[in-house]
Amino acid sequence: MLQVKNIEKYYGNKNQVTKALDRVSFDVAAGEFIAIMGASGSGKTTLLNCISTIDTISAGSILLDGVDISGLSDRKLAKFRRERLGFVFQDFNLLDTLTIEENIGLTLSLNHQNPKNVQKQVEKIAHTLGITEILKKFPYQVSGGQKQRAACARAMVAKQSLLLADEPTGALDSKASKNLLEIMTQMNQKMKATILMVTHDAYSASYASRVLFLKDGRLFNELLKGTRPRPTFYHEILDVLAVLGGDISDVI
Amino acid sequence: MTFSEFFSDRLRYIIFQAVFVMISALFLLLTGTQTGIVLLLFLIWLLLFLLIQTMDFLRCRAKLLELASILDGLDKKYLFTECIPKGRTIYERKFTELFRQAGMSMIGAVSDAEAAKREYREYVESFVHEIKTPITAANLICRMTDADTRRKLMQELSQIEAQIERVLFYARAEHPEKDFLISQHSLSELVAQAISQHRTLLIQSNVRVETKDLEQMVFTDSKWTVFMLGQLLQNAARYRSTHPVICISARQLKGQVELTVKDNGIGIPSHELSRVFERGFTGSNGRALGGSTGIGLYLCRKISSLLEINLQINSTEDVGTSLTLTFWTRENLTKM
Repeated sequence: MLQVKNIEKYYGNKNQVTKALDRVSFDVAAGEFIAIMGASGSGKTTLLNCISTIDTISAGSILLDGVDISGLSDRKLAKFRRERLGFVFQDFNLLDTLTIEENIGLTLSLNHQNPKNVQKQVEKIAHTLGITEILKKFPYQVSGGQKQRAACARAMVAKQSLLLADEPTGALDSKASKNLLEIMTQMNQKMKATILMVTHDAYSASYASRVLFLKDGRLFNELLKGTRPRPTFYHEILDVLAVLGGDISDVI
Repeated sequence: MTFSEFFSDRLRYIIFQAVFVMISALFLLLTGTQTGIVLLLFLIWLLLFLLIQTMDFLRCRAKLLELASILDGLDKKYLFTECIPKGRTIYERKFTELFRQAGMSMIGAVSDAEAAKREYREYVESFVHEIKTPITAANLICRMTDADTRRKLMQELSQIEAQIERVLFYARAEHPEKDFLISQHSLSELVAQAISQHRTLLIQSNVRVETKDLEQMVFTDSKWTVFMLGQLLQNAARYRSTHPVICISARQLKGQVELTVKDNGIGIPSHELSRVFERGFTGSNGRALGGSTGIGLYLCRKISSLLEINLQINSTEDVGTSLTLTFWTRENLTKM
């Protein structure tokens, strides 16, 4: 459902041009859980920004659900983003003035859903993700892990095709991280959500079924979990990271 | 953009404004407004109008200068559409958006072409690598045959090797600077290597090689220089006359060393002499002899210019050909 073909991204101002992405190509099938790893400066955030239509590419094409997003106008892109993409950020990005319930329902409201249906859908997804108790609370009243689960709910409530996560476990402690990753696995397996997660944490990446490694804007390596248990996959990821370079602090 | 260019662009608008103001002034005067008031209104309008037009002009000119300087500073100018600011007005934004999409197709085309070339080159390099094995094996098998067969086979094998080496160097010649290792070498050593690599050919062609005054040190990349010398030797051996002699000598110039490879072969007709360095040029001699690719001297020209070696050719038909390579010595390095 996502096809990235030979994309390039140049960043330029007055006199300096940087090549952030160099002919990156890969496919994501519906229902896959993909992780993209790389050191800082490898281009992974740029890649995510390009796929999520926040940034435009310099060359190549990106096809989401069969639609070539590189040719869409600003307005059509916004509509596409609103209806088909869900986002989970490292710093949660929930609106502090709305309750958790309202935060999740915001997506549906923006998509012009009937207000009566909104509540029902919110309660349904809250139940699936285990956050029914905090629905009436405000973001500052709940823990990081719960906030991130709310963000996940918000990202999937409108039946979006693709969930894009940018370092979702970055601001969480190890227990909350484990919790969130298990929730995401659940979303992937039960709700058939297609997830694209950018991370520099090998532990998070090991929950994915496929890991793509970026180095200097290029696709460096690809690992598939297959039928192997997660700890084995985790060690294989660490091996690749050792070759990729970067300090140990990039791994944690 | 000059003021007159800006003015001529807006001429229609300015004329309309002026005409309308004139009509309004006339109307006001005819309907009883005092001349003084009309004059005052007119002056206010004129002032504001001039002010706004000047501001517009300065802004447009600054914007164009900025774009020109961005284009100037870019190495790969086709990336222009990625480096310009989005534009203030909606018209500018829609305009630049169209250009961005056009630029996107251009960047994609350039990138695809470069990738195809790179893949082809990598394929050639791996081919050359692989083919060395059967050639070496054939060489070894040669040893087990009788002397006559061995001699003939090794001659053919050395020709194959020469062609393979040329293919490799051709593939690398796009970016030979990636493979440069400049250091000090003795000319006699480089010449000896070239002769040794092509000794089978030289022996088969009955060529006598004389060397003179080669005890000079030069700064260059040994591998590429030996390759060039090899090409020159091959040419001298191919386009030879009876009793062929190749004379390789060197002499010192100010800060440089000039190496001359001279033969007494069939020479090159004067009307073809200036074209021998063109890619694929085989000339009348190449046709007469057959099997010429026209690539050898083209590669020499390419490599020599990248290594800052001056390559010159001189020839007289039926008398001989001489090529000179001018190398740099230490004294000139600080200038470079």
